[in-house]
Amino acid sequence: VKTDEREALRHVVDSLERNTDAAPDPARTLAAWRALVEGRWSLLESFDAHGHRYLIVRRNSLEHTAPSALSRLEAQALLLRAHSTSYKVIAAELSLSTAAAHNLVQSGMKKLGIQDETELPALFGRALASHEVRER
Amino acid sequence: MQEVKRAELSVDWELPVPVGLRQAELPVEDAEPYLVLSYPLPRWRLPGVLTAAEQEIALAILAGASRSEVAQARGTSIRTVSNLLAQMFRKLGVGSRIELAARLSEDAPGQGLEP
Repeated sequence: VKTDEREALRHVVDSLERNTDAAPDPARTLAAWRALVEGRWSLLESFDAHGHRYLIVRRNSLEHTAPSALSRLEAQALLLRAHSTSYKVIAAELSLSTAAAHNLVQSGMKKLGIQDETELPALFGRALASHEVRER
Repeated sequence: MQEVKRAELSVDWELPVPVGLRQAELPVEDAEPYLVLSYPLPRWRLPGVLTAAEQEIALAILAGASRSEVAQARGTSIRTVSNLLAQMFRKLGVGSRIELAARLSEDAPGQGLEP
């Protein structure tokens, strides 16, 4: 973000802060989140302020979609880690080495602007309750 | 072969939208607006069973500090910090930083401490 855009950014952050009582539009937030997770948009910068994490994202050109997309394995590793699953167990679940499981969590976090894995339970910890692991 | 089956167990999972996610457009010159996404940072619920020193260490560890950084900030040895951490983990029945985060997070229902 260029210096001359900082002022606009400050206004955006202020407006988000002022409207914390208003319910966000679920359809819009879902679309924005999916765009980031699927790599159609990618993270430019992130910062923390007023008890919130802010992510600045921009639309990717079509040829650049793939690198920033969260892979299925990264999503699975993040969800398992959010549920306090050890890297050893994640590795067993995903048929990977422990180091590879750790790398998946780290790369997934980087793509989403998550700075420390201790943030994962609050972000995604409740998700596993609604997902059943199914034997095929 | 068994391992391949295990890898297929959870392929349908999708990463959910973070609770409290908000968005706004950020205008930029001569280009499509950027998007600003925002979600609340974790809020920690520190139980009264922890001493003041343990609570201080818990917050530092949850913020990503290493044991040596905590020791330096508190003017104690790494061994002292490790002992306090072990004591705190025992009290809370956790074995790692990530378990501590799940246990103390106000936003991970079913995992936090009872009020």
